[in-house]
Amino acid sequence: MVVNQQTKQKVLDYIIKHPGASDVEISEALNIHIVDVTVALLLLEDEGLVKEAE
Amino acid sequence: MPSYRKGSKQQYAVKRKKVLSKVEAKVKKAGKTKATKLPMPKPEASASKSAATAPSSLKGGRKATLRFKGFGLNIKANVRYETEKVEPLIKTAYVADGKIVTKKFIGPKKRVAWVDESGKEHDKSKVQQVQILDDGSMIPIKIEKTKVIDVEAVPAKIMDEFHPDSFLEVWGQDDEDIDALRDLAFELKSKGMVGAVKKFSHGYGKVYVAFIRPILSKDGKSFVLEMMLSENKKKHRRWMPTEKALKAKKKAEEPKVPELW
Repeated sequence: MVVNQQTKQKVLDYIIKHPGASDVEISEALNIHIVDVTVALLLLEDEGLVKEAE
Repeated sequence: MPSYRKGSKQQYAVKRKKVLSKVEAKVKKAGKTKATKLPMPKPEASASKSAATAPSSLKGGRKATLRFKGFGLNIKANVRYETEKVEPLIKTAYVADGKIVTKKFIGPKKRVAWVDESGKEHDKSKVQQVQILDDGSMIPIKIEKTKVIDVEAVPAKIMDEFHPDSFLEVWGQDDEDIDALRDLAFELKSKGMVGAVKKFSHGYGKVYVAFIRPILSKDGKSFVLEMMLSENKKKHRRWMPTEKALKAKKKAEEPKVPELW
């Protein structure tokens, strides 16, 4: 799996700075492929660090 | 806990630039490292032979090269792919005077032309494809047919987040290619993963994200690689409450009449 700790950290940092940002926004802002962002979000959710907004 | 939302923008895949992470770059650099095979369940020899000696079902399709690095595998296989054609479960038709009829352009011969909003025709040679950015600006792009399918392993549930556009079947061209795909299929299956293809195109102006899912036959003697193409992630907008709406409302009670006498 390509998503590494660095990618996860970047995604987490972005969400902390931009709460409510969409996955597509994160992908475009960080220039990380949407598949990698989706995987990173899944891992971060599993770790309890982020949650999907209602 | 910070939160995010699942978004959606059309033609997302077209907008993406291929980004190689440092890890990917390292893997690419060390591309010539010898792959070590992991012990994995193999189908019986007879099954392998039967798959390899079934040319009628493994002919045709479009050619590409599939690459995968991971799980100790370093795969580069010649593959073919084709859109899965399915017959409709319910067949319908239009009939007039007892004969099946279809809509067709008839009468004076028509031609296809490139026209702008005002209806003015533009020369075909001047037409080029562009990507329209969020701010309305346009940058020229060239979308070519994918010849190398780069696969990365991702958790299987990632695939559910993407909107399916169409499904293809991917198969090996020769015995060694089928063997390589078998290794990939068993590794993905055993780890609960699917293969992600970040960029795939037929070359007709659309770019997709694709996911390759291995499907094993019930007897485990044969397998299929199904590739789902997606243009974007799913976006659900019509969320309904899980609590019953009627249950929440209190049942209207009969008015109580006070007894005066």
